[in-house]
Parts: sequence; structure tokens; C-alpha cells
Amino acid sequence: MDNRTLPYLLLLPATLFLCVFFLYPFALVAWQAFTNEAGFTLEHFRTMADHWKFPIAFWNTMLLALAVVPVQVVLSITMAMMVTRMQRGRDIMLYIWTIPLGISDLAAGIIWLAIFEQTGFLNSMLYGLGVIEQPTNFLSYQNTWVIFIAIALAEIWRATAIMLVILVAGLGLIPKEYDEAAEVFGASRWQRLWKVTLPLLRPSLQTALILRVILAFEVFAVVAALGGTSLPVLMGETYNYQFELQDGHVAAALALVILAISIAFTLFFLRVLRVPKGAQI
Amino acid sequence: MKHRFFQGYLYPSYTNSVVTKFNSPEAVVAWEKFRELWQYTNPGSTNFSFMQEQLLSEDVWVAFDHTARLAEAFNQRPDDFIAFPAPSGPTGRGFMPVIAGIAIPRTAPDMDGSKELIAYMMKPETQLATLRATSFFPVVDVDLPDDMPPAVQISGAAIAKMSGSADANPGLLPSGLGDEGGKFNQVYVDTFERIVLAGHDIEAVLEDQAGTLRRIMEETGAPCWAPDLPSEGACPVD
Amino acid sequence: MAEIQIRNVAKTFGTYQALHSIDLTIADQEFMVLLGASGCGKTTLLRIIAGLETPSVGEVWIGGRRVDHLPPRERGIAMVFQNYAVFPHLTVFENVAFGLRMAKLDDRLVRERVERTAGLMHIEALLQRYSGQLSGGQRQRVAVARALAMEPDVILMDEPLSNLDALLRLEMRAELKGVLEASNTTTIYVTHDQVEAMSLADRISVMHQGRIVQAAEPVEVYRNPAAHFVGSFIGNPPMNFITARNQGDGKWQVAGQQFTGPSVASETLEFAIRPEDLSLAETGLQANVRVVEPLGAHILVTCDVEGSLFRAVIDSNSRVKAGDVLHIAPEPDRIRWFDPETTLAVA
Ligand SMILES: Nc1ncnc2c1ncn2[C@@H]1O[C@H](COP(=O)(O)OP(=O)(O)OP(=O)(O)O)[C@@H](O)[C@H]1O
Ligand SMILES: [Mg+2]
Repeated sequence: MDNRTLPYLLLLPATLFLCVFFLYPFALVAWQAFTNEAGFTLEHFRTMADHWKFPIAFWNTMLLALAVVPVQVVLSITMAMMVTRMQRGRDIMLYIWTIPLGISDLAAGIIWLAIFEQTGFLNSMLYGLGVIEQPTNFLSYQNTWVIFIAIALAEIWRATAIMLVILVAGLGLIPKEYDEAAEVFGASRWQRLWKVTLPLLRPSLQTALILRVILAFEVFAVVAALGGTSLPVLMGETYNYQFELQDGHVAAALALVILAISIAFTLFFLRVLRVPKGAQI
Repeated sequence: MKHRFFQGYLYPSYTNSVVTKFNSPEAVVAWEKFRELWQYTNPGSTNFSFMQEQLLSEDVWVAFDHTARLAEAFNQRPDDFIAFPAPSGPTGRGFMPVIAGIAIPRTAPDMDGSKELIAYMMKPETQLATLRATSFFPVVDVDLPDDMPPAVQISGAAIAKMSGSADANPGLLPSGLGDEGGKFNQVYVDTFERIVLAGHDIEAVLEDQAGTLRRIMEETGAPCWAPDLPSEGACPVD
Repeated sequence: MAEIQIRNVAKTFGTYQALHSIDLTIADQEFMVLLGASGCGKTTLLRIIAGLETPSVGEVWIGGRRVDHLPPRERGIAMVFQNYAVFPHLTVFENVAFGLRMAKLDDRLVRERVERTAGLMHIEALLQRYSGQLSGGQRQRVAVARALAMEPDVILMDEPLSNLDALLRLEMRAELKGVLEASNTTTIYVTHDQVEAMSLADRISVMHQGRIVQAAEPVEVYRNPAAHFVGSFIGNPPMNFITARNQGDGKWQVAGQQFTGPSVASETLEFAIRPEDLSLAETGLQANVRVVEPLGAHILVTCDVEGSLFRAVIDSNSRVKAGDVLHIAPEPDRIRWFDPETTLAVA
């Protein structure tokens, strides 16, 4: 076989798969979002944007991503460095830390609901300690910020491990000589982190961030479990339009908005964390 | 079941209407009253669904829900709970009995079999068996025997009292809406969330949601149902 | 002032003892070469001095200050790593500037120093490249430049020229020697190239299996190896060894010949002589020639003396060929004696 055609042949199955199971449905969704009986229309986007909950859902989604992802970046980097430096028990630690990954997001939401709800663990504990006089309902529509924090906590708990796993693998790829060289040439711990480890970690950081941010924009089940309808997010609204309101057009429009945000952030991270040619490890 | 509460209880009791007087001075009064009432509810109730759970866990003491969703509370603690009729308002005691209509498509392949099935479902014994199992009350006239589960006995008495009251104002389930049933319900839920939960201005919200409601009615062409007066074509929204 | 003292340093990795009780003093501004076979512990010792490895026992002093509890950056050292460790995410310029930037030097000064050291190491043309775009030898020179730019009190170099071709290595060697002599730097330089060691060192420390067997000036190490290992490791071709039997009164019998040696009681000693200290003679050790290799001005004769392998470097005028039986005579004052038990030299 010719060496020049072989790569394309090998790529063919994956490409076909993507065309059938991604591009085709994507085209269908786009078609649904932009058409009605009369043909092309922006009506569905207008309906979507005019709904009173849309801006709330949009900003809730954004703020959640903004609150959760940076915390996760810091946490996962710290945890990854800790794991990498461990002499023994490394694998066990890693397994323990990645347990939440094995739990579906709905289950994660329910676990945190069991903590925060009126009959939940947090209430029993605070009541037992005498901090509160009677069990209170933390997750009510009156304090959406508590719901927000609960969702953020659940998300951090549930999905930090995804980044952790990627970063641990990434750190493993960095020879320890670089850190040692930096140490010899006068860099403090902090400087070594910023000037050597993090720059060398850029490719993994990029992967982890893109993956995580896209997931953050798709947050749904945890929100549904903890916030019900009190804290609308884009994905919840999409679901609502598709299944409750039976309006696939507006649901498709919302899906496209989520896709657009995801693409925008992916491009952003690709650009910001780009590694120049020749500067790879 | 919030939407059913607004459609079958709140609106009929204050406006004697569901659709037509959606945005009316009477509706404003209704929402004001409801907002005032809301301060006594459990704030978690926006996420409750089967009230029997909250009754049993004593998160709430007074609940509104479908009989089928309350049965467990009555069955488990018949001496602790009572059922009572829906309250009445300026335009009577709105409530929403279920009237079932059964039809056979003209193209059904086995017409006789279908008829037989319907006859079977309408038999008093079948209806009683359904009631016993699910707390869905009979849609045909039957005398309830004495050995029914507590839930049926307790809620049955309340329903009888409610339907027999002098100011009874029964409304029907929304009909003729086809696919748009979900959106129709959403109008009422959105109105509630904006007025009661988010504290928006009542008149403005009603004005805005009335637009959505009108569009749904016009698109589906659904005629009015009780307690709204029958309409020619789509049920109007004033 | 940066005298380096290594006091009774030992290092074990798990159950493997990489260094055994090393004692070594390197004078201020001295150029010390660590020479030894692969795996003998050179890098380990260097890393202990740098602070990248903690000694299992023992102390390290630099400039009169005990440093073994200090982190590397507080030891006043710079290092060239055996595997370069040139940062891939920085340009060559930023690599060379790295230590200077950490020391918060003025930008202009940084530029000046980087350019000067880059000139020394012939990498001016590469300053804007990334390490992924360099050859192994270029990368190595960047690593050396990065250390030189620091102008440190102590510079530790782990085989800094190993990846260069012969010609460039010769040139860099001279360059390095010049630069380091001109500065006031104390240097520890690891290599297993003995020619490099000879030409650069003020003193050579020969390491063997985690011990320093001899630390002395290059000529001394060559002429008077302190142990069998030093004689066999240094010199190309290496020293010849053959068993000598005690005849009493300081007389020793070697392959039927009698030599004057140390007056000790032991049964046998090892008789040692460098190949170039052998010459053809009427009488002497009888040798069966195996291989003859011309080296230009000399020829290398590999032969068999009473079952022991001997090499002699003799004048190329002599017409020796394989199969000949020769008599080779050792220069009497170049003969060295080693105890076969301890392998140490006997005077
Ligand atoms: N981290 C470590 N763990 C276990 N053993 C080690 C470790 N580092 C070095 N060693 C062992 O210690 C011995 C000395 O290693 P070192 O790297 O000092 O050798 P070297 O003299 O520098 O060799 P070379 O000339 O090949 O670089 C070797 O046998 C090596 O296998
Ligand atoms: Mg080494």
C-alpha cells in the first residue's frame, strides 16, 4: 500500500463514524433551529431569547462554570502534584480521589441533596451541635446562592477527578530534571511552579480545561437534583423545551447556543495555552 | 401539580375563568391573595412532587395534591390526616373533576374488541379495582363499598362534600391543545414563578404571559372549556 | 572563596550502596575532575553536592558553610546536567538567562551576559530557537552556557562535552578551561574520558564502585596509580600486570626474570608496567607476539608473557610481526607493585 494514502485510509472509519453520528445529527439540529414550516427563520432563537428565564439560565450557566472551573484547576493541579510526589500509596490515593468519577452526575446530585436538604446530614449535624434551633431548608428558592454553592460543591466534588487524571498523566510526562535544573538555578517552589511546571503542563492543562469547561456548560442533572426549577441553566431549559413543552425547534436553538459557547471556549483555550512549535517536551 | 391548582382552583374561584380572564383585575386579586398566602408555605415546596412524602415526613401539615398522590399518607396514618374540600373564592369553589371520554378511532382494526374493552373498563367492578389500587376515583356512578382503603374513604368523603357544595364551580381539564399542553401549563407555572417566587409586578407579568397564552390558543384553535363560556373558534384571551 | 569539603559522605538507594564514605576536599578555584567507569557514582556525588540528593550520612561544606541541609539555590552553585535539562518551553536565550532572571538581574545585564556566554559556546545563532529544534551537541552547549552565565562560585558539570564531535570537543575543552581559569570558580567536572580529564584537571579523583580510590594531580595519577584499578582504568592502552614471586631480600621473580622490588613478606605481588615503558632488548621478559597494530609513530604490540596479556608501545622502526618471540625490558624506575589482596600500591 502506498504510504501516502495509508493514513487517510486509517482515518476513514473514524471519519465516517463522526459524519454519521455527529455531523448528521448536528445538521438536523441546526436545521430544526433555523427553520419552520415557512423556511428559514430566526423565530426560534427569538422565542428562546424572549423567554424570561433565558438570561437567568445563561448567566447561571456561565457563573457556575466561572465559579467551578478555576477552583477545579487549582485543586486538580495541587492534588496532581501531591500524588506525583508521593513515594508510596500513590495508586491507592489516586483511586480514592477518582471514586466520584464512577458516579453518575444525577447520583452525585442526589448524594449532595441528602446532605443539604431539610432532613439531610448538614441539618442533623448543625442541629446536633446546637448551631441551629430547628432544621432549616437551605435549598429554597429564597436563597438561590445557597443552591448555587451546593451545586458548585457537588460539581467540584464530582468532576475534579477528570482533570486530576489528565494532569497526573501530564505531570508524569515531564522529566524531573527540569524541576531540578530550575531549583539549582535559583527558582523557589512557587517560581518553579509558574515558570517550569505549569508551562510544561500546558498541553495537558489545555485538554483538561477544554473537557471540563464543555462539561460545565452541559451541567444538568446535578442542578436538577439540587435546584429543581429554582436555578435554571441552559441545559435544563433545553430539556424543558424538548420534553415538557414539546418544542424541538427552541430546544435545538438552545443546543446550538450551548455548542457555540463550548466552541468559543475551546478556541480560547487552544489559543491561550498554545505551545509553540519546537517547544514541546 | 401547581399548574392544575392555578387552572382548576385559583382562577375559577377568583375569575370564573381559566383562559379568557387570564389577565384581568380579578386575576390580579387572585395572584395578590396567593402571594400573600405563599409566605406560609414551606419554601422547599417548589421542588415537592408527591405530597404524601412531605406529609409523612411532616415537612408540611397542609397540602394540596391529586388524591392518588396523597393516598399513602392516609393509608399509613389514617388517624393523623384529614381530607377537606378545596376552599372557595369570590366566584365559587373551583375544582377540577376528571371527566373521562373514551373513543375508538374510525380506522381501528378490531372495532368489536375495542368496544368490549371499553365495556369492561366501565364496569363498576373494574372501576372499583382501579380505585383500590391507585386512588383514581370512578368515572361512572358506583356505590363505594365499606371495605375501601382508608385513603379512598377519607378523600372520597371530602370529594363528595366538595362536589355537593352549593357554590361548587367545577372546571374541566384543558382540552384541544394537542402538543401544546406542556406550553399551556408552562404559562401558569411561569406566571407563578415570576409573580410569587421572583416577586415581579403582577400586572406586567400577566400582560406578558397573556400574550404567550393567546398565541397558544390561536395556534391550536382550542375552544373554551368550563368554567369559561363556550367560544366560536379559539378561546379568546382578554 | 569556595572550598568544597565532602566529609564521610555515603549514599544508599534502598539496599544498594551507591557511595561509600567519601572524603574529599576541593580547594578554592581548583578544577577537580571526577573520573570513573559508568555507574560508579559520579553523578550521585555531584547531585549530593548540588543538593538534589541528600546524603545518607556525612556532611557537605561549601565556602566554610555546612550546606547539606540547604536547598540547591542557597548553595551558590550552577550545574550542567548529564541529560542537559534544557527547558523545552523557553528559547535558548531564555534558557541561558534563566538563572540570571531568578536572581533578578537588570535586563541589560542579562542580555550582555547571555550574549557573552553564547559567544563562548558558539550558540549565538541559536538564541531564538527552542530546544526541540537543537541537536544533542547544541543542547549540551546551551546547558553549559546556562551554567557559565551564572558566574557562580562553584560549577558542577556532568559530562558536559560528551555529545560533541572530536574536533568541537577539543575546541570547547580549551575554551572552558580558559573561561574557568579566568574566573574564580571552583569546578567539579565529571567525565569518563581520561584524555579530557588529563588535559583539564588540576586534580583527578578516580572513582570506583562508590569509592574514591585516588585523588591527585593528573601526572601522579598516571605515573603512580594508588591501586590496581587506577592503573588499569587510566592510560590507553592500560597498564600491564603480571604476578611476581617473592625471592626474599626485595628480589622478585617475574616470568623467569629477577627484579628489585619492595621488601615485604607476602608470597606474591603484582608487577605493573605501562606499555610505553617497555622496550625491545636482548634480555628481558620473553613475549610471544599475537597482534601488531601500527599507531603512526609507534606500534602497539599485544603479546603473551607467561600466560598474561602484555601490551607494549615500541618504536615503529622495529620490524615485529605476529608469531615472533621477543624480549621486552621494563624501565626499572617505572615499575610499580600492587598487593594482590588489597589491590593497593606497595612502595
Ligand atoms: N535514584 C536511584 N535509585 C537507585 N539506584 C540509583 C539511583 N541513582 C543512581 N543509582 C545507582 O547508583 C549507581 C551510581 O549511579 P550514578 O548515576 O552516580 O553513576 P555515574 O557514575 O554517574 O554513571 P554514568 O557515567 O553512567 O553517568 C548506579 O549503579 C545507579 O544504578
Ligand atoms: Mg552520570
